[in-house]
Amino acid sequence: MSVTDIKNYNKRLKVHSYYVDIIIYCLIGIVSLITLFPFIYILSASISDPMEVVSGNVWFLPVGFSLASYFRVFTSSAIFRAFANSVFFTLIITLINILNSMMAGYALSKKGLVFRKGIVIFILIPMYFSGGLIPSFIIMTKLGLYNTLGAIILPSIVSIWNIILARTYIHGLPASIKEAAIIDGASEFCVFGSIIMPMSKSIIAVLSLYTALGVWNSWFNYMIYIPKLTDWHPLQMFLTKALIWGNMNSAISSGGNVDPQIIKNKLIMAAVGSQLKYTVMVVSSVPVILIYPFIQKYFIKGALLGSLKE
Amino acid sequence: MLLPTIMLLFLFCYLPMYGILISFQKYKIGSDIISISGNTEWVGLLHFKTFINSIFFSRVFGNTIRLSVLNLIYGFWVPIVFALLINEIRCMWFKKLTQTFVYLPYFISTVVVVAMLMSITGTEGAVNKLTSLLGVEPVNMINSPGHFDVLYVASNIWQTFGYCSIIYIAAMASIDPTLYEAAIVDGANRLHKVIHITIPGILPTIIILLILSIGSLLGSNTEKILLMLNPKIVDRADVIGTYVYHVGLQKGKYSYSAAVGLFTNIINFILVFGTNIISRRTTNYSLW
Amino acid sequence: MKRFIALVLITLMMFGVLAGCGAKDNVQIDNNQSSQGNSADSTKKSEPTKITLLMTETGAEWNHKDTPNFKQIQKVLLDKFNIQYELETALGNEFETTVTTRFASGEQLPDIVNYRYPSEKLNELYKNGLIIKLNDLINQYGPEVKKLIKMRPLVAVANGDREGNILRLPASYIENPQHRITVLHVRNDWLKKVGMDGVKTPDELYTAIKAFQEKDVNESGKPDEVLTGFGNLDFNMTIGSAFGVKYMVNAADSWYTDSNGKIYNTFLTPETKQYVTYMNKLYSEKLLDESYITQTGEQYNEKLYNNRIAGCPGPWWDGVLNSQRVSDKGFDVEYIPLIPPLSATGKPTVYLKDLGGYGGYMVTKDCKDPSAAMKIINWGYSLEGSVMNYYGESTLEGGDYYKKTTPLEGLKLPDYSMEYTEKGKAAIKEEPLLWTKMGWNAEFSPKVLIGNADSIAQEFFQAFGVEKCGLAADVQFNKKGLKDAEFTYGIPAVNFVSPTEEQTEKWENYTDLWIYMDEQISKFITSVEPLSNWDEFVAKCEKMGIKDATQIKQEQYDAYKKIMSGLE
Repeated sequence: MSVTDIKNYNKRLKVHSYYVDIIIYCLIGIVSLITLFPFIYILSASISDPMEVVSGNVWFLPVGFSLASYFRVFTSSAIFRAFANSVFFTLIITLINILNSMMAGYALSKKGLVFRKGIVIFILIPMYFSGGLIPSFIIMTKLGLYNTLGAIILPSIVSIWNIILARTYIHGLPASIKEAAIIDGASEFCVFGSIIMPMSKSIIAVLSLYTALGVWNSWFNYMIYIPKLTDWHPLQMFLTKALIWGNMNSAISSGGNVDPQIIKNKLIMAAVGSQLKYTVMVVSSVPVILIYPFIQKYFIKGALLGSLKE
Repeated sequence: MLLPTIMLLFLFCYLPMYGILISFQKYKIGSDIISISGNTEWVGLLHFKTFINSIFFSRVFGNTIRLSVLNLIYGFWVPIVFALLINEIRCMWFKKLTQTFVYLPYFISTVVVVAMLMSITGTEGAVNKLTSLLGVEPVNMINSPGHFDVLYVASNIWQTFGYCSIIYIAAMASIDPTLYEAAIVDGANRLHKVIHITIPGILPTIIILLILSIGSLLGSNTEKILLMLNPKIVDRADVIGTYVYHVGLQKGKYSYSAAVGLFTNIINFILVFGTNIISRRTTNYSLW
Repeated sequence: MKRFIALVLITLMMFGVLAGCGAKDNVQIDNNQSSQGNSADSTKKSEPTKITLLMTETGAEWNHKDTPNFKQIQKVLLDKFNIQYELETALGNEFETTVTTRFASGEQLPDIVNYRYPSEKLNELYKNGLIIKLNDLINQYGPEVKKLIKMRPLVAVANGDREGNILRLPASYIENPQHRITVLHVRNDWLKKVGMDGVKTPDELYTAIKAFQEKDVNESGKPDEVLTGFGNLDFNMTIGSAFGVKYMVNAADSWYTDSNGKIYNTFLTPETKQYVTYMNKLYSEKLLDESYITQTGEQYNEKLYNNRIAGCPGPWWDGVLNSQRVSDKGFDVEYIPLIPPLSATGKPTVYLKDLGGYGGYMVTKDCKDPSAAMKIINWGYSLEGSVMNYYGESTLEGGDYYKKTTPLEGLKLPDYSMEYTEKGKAAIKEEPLLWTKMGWNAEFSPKVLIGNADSIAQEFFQAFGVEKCGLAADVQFNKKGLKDAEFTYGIPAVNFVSPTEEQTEKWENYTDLWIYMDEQISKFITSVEPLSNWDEFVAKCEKMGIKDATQIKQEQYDAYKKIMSGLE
């Protein structure tokens, strides 16, 4: 093909693409609108008049306006502490987990690894078989981890799913680079740190997101393994509570008093209570949504681009 | 490099695995699982037999598989198609924005998803308003056995497709851009590029996710079904997870529920191995 | 390369921090434990004895241990007995898992656990040495507990084993029927609109709701006025009772005795069939809300606020609350309770929920000082403890927020029936959150309140006004219905002693049967299963072993009666 041919071809392609583009944009636009619906709903519910929320009048846009539930969330000093805890655990666990997953993935991707098959099976079996909560708890107490932060952090360092994905990704990287480095006399750790890690930005971003989300949303382990360290409990504990609280219809017991004004106050408080779950949901998802655009660039950048243009 | 992984797996996954033994015992709270004095009561495969002979076995087993297969058939391709579409978009801010939007549903808790599902598909809800325009009699779908499959699968897809597409989008990002450049030179159009470069490029990812999802064929979103479950649809909606919940947790039969759990995991494990072997033979890609 | 080194360094630092955290916490706990040990040995005045209670967090938005009510209880216990009382909580839905896991691991158990284990599980725990028997402790440190057991021996029998060991003490022993009575509330203003004067029989109820819909009393343009509720249980107690259905809760627990002392399952009686047929008629004619079994609190509220609920079963105060709630939306609303519940025969029947469901306090093997645990439990049963736990903070300092009630004429109230003082009313108006500081349902420490029929009459009259109650069913319920309840309280619950090991084992085989029965009843009501299949349903239950199950219950009941007759 001559240069002009290519130019002509590209022109034709552009005209053709124009219609396709419109269709694609429309499709994606519609899909995003549908998926956006619940979020607007939750936001609306959290800032509407609480009495309208319990009456079920809020279904899309806010009805009335009240920040009572936000006021209630933010006047609780425990929530700030819980928020900080969630951030702390998410950062630490994600960091260590990703580092470990990448190391394991790198090691597994090497063809020459001794007992590779055995190790793979060793890693895979726990994905399907577990002894259940009771023995895990007993081991935890026997190791002296019960009621220590180690009980939360240590078991979350290994994620089999992450290791598999990391291995597949690293396996797909061009072998020439790794071999070249080894021939140059670099140690395994050196190859891992200076070649594999920089090349794996996009998978690291994805795995971090998965892991961070998982940690951010977890609360069960905290309740079971560190019941005494209530100062270390995460934000999700509050969300879970708010959800139960919002669903409890019998929360308003009269307690033997029937003064209309008192009952009214109780009802308003209960209404705010059931609105609270929306508010806590907004508060707990905002950080994740704010962070996403920053890591998103790694998804889109071609990670191999730089390292291949030797 | 593998040392921390192996050590931690051994400590937190392999050491507790002796707990599987309670599936073969009559376990009572506080008695030792491995007893030195020998006062554990071994019952062999009794709990497995009880489960298979239960009047609910065919119901929960059938429903579990039906729902998972439906989920797989209708749910698996949606994130892939979405990722392919997103990949075609050149306008950066639009791309970022939509990507942020579509994965929002993933953050919404199951409780709220089910609550919203109920109000949207209720007799007064938006869905019924739409269908009544077409002359269909309004139905409260959550109470209607015929609609359960649709509601369950559709809400699952709606909640997860954006999130699942992230992994495909990442895989697409790692495809060598020179391949596309070469293809353009060779005169490929957009569709050609998708079929000959993008899809083969993400095929390993697709296969891994497929193998993993086949491995969870006997799992279903128990929490969600529990919230949706009611006596009118119980024959269509009761799955292994909800049965274990009712029997194991509510009635306190620990050994029995452990046995049912083990039973499903063994099947899952066999399924994963099987799929992996088939995949390795036919496409040359495999998990390990 | 530099970046890699930095990364490694950061990781190492992180590990260091973690190790530090872990170690610190370890030390702290060790200290606590050693101090606990010391104090148990040494004399009282030095270090306070530490006692921890594991209880459920009921989804309150605050932590129970931070409530003023609990802090006050803590202070009293510290002053009185030199006990440092602490709480450990788990969230409501996962509480069962937490308790089971803690017990199963058998290590580092809290001193006291408050949980509603069924009696066979209680036996298991005792046999495996996880909890201790309380008999000696009660004799030495529990005068108030002793008093209660003397007054109501079933407390000991229902919470013990067949050898007479008491293994648990009820968290709330509240005999005052107000907390256990379920009534059906209907819209009185709508009844007037359709020209009816009260509702006494199921047929009248059917006619009334049908008339509501036909005359469109809420003026919505649609026949959307419905009877609603949360599941079958409350309907069984309010409408079922009219058909003579006794104590129908869930299949595994629905036992009753006939006049010969024979136990039967109330699910399979002809009365139940009649009742189910009636409910099915309501359901298929859309008089009974289509989603009454599954609706959430939110869906219920939506119906309530849109003026659609014609009637709903619930605790007696629901009527007052609901009227108030809908009035706020600008409707003129009046829910009234049907007291006594509907009756087919004209003979009033009053159904109370049983007393068994309140869980209770178990003292574990790891409790360093069981006498201190018993002192806490015993204090809870005293008047001071009960009132403080039940009515919340401040009552002790001269009843700041509460005063003793002046009874209505002709009623005789127990000593501790209370209502708000003027100061209390003013305070609660200014600070709506105040009500969260009160005890009511929190189970920090046990409480016992023995009430009488008069106290519920008092609250009823206050709530609905004397005329409205009279209107509902020319009741005089304080004289007739509930007055009897004072003597026959606890009916219709039939009590049983704990099963033998062999019985427990057999019982496990019936799990599918109970699930099947529960499902079937709902299916009959909601027309999923045609009523013509009733006989097949009964036959299938028999095939699955309902007769043997009944036999087991019969033996447990006979054993219970024997023990009780020995005590009298």
